Amino acid sequence: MLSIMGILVIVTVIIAIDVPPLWRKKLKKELWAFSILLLFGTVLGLAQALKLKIPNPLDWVIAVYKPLSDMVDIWLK
Amino acid sequence: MPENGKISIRQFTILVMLVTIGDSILILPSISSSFAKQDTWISGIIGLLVGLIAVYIFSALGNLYPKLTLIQAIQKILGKWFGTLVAALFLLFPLITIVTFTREMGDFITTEMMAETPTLAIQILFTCIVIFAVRLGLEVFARTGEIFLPCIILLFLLLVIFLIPQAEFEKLLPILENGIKPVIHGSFSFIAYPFLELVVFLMIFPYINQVRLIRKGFLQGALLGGLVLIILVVISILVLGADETARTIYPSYSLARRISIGLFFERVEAMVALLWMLTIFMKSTFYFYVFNLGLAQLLKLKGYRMLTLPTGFLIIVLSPIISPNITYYNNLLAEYLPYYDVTCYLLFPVFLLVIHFIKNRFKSSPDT
Amino acid sequence: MKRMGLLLCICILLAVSVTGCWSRRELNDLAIAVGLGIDKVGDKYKVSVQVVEPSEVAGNKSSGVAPVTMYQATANSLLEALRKMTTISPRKIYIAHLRIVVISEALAREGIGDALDFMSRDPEARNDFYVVIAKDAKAIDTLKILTNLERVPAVRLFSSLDTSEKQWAPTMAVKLDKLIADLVSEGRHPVLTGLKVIGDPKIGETKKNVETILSPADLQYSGLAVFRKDKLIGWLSDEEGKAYNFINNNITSTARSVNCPKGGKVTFRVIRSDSKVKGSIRDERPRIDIEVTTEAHVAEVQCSLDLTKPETIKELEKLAERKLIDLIDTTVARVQQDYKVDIFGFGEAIRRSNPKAWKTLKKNWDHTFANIPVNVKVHYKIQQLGKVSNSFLEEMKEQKTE
Repeated sequence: MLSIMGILVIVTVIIAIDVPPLWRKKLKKELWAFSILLLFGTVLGLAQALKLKIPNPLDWVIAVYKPLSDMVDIWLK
Repeated sequence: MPENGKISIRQFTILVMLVTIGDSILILPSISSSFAKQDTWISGIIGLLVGLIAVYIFSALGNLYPKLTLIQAIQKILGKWFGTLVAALFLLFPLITIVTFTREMGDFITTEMMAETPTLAIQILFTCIVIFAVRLGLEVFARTGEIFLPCIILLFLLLVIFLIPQAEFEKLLPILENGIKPVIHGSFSFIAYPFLELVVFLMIFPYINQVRLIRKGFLQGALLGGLVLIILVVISILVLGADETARTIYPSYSLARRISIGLFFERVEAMVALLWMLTIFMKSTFYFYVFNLGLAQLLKLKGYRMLTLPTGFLIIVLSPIISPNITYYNNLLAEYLPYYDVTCYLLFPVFLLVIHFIKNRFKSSPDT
Repeated sequence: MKRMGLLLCICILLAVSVTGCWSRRELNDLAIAVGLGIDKVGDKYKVSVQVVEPSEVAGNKSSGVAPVTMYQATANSLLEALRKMTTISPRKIYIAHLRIVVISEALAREGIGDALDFMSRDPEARNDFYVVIAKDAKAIDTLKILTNLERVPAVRLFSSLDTSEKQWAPTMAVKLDKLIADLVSEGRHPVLTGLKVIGDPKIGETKKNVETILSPADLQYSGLAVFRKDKLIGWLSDEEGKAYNFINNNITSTARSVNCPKGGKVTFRVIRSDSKVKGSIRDERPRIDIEVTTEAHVAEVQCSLDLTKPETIKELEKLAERKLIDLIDTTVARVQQDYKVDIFGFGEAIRRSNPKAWKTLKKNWDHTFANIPVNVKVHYKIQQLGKVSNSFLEEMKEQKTE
């Protein structure tokens, strides 16, 4: 619970710092980019706070390079 | 244009040097020597040579479009739609890389210095500084590098000179005990982490004020940084020996712990740790800057500063996801990430160069 | 501008005051351990730590209490034992300032490897303490003896080992990283210095021990423990320990005497010694060449010698060379015959010079080592005679015969 609160507080602070100037200058596209990124981060953060299992992108990297790495290991032994 | 600053060629060279040293100073000796043992210095020399060739290729690519950043150049070479897609994919590389830096920093501090502090606390503080630096802009942190450089050189010399009395040259022998193969294997990480990751400098080519000197500065910076790393590897092996260098997770820190001059100048490792904190800070800042700048250019935004806080937040959130524990991460660094770096940071620029020349051939051939 | 300066000051002050507060440990929350003893009881470790009594060590205000205190606990692992000690100790045991680790002989015979992992893994433990073996005693008993001159016994053990290695050279001051390097090396087995309690340990544990001029009990380093991998298999005497140090280029200074041609003794102060161990393969058989170059001064003459003649110096050099060669030869032969473990690093020497041959040799190295021919060469250089040339003994004798 505490960590969810923490995430929300951080998100609020980030919005409070950056949104007002963007709003004043009416930079719509920038606001969209900002919101999507922040939303993405918040969702990931909340998912972690709730101890949900999130796929690790580096597992995919490993899966892609594993055959190559194994081959090199044998070849350069 | 999201970035209006300009940096001098001197600042550029220093930046290249510091980014080359970057996190490699902490993780590289252990990874490379786990393959090459006492011949890691040969791996280092191979790494430096191949690295310089890579840097030459990068600067060749950069010089094709000196007025454009890499993201813009990709869009120009590959056309609007395909180019945008590829550029978006390319931006994932600096993102993943900077998340790994944050992870490394946290792991290092909790392993060696503050065992009971949550990694997250360190990562948040570290990312805050990085965000702060990036918001101030390229000019400011280029100058920061200039200011830090004497401090970094001094600390490095301190580390090396104070350890010379403990060096045992026998530890370098026998040379090529298991043939050249393990040495080549060890040089993979030596090529990938310091040098190939330099490709992101293509993002700031338009902001350097003397275009003619870029290639020279780029090569010089990489050479200096590479020499620092080779010296570090040699001193690790001379002092710790190949076995211990490979067994220790952070050999540079173990080295600093060894410093003991006349029983009064000792326990200075925390001071020497400042050395790699500074270089990791510079590398992370630069990558973070590149990521934000690239994203802003891709989306054609008016600036990149408003992106820094959400992306910084994203990085902190991602860092526990990408590595469940340190064994997973070290295994990743030793076995898989070098190939990933080769694909993204070497093959990809070469691919761009080839496409460029093919396009030009087709364009110019009807004229002749 | 002024505002900026003020802001900067505040920032710096804040930065200074908020650093490192997370896992901070105040000095008065820590029990600073300087000595650590490891024994084995059944299949559990009995760990004893010597902790500094801060009020006793600081300044001159000693109130007559022992300068150190000891905690002990028995548990499955070292960390468990150290943490278990908090049930006795008011403070957390802090091991970053360890000076000495004593391992009991009984445990060493079973193997020290398991006990060492904690030391190399724990971020608090540093690499600057020495590891020794308690000879014929429990580790805990060696840490109970009160000592004079250095009030903290662990510090005394540390300095004593350091000094004896540099001045007399029968001991090896081995730090953890060197020990681990030897343990994992295929071409070298480790040695550690032995520590024994001399005199009456019962009195040694009481304050009486430091009240008299001649302490009834004391701690003495004695001999080198020979290991096969991490298991203790035997001991070398002090003299053999010296030979070990001569071979391994670990002599800073020592004293050695030889018999004069006409009876009596001459003693040399060795001031410098340099040795090279070379491994080579000749006729498909490995061999070892040891070359020792030693510089010495004449320190004590107890016989009739004319030191003003260059021939005498030559002759003395020959005698000293002969004696050192004998010492090294017999020591190597004894280790080859009795222990059959390569503590001298001959395997390393072969590996360095001929890595290809080493690949096949290493499989059966200890067996090969036991039969390897060792050729010792010594160059003894006598350089100075001290403050006088010929001994007054010479003149004394001449007067007698007149």
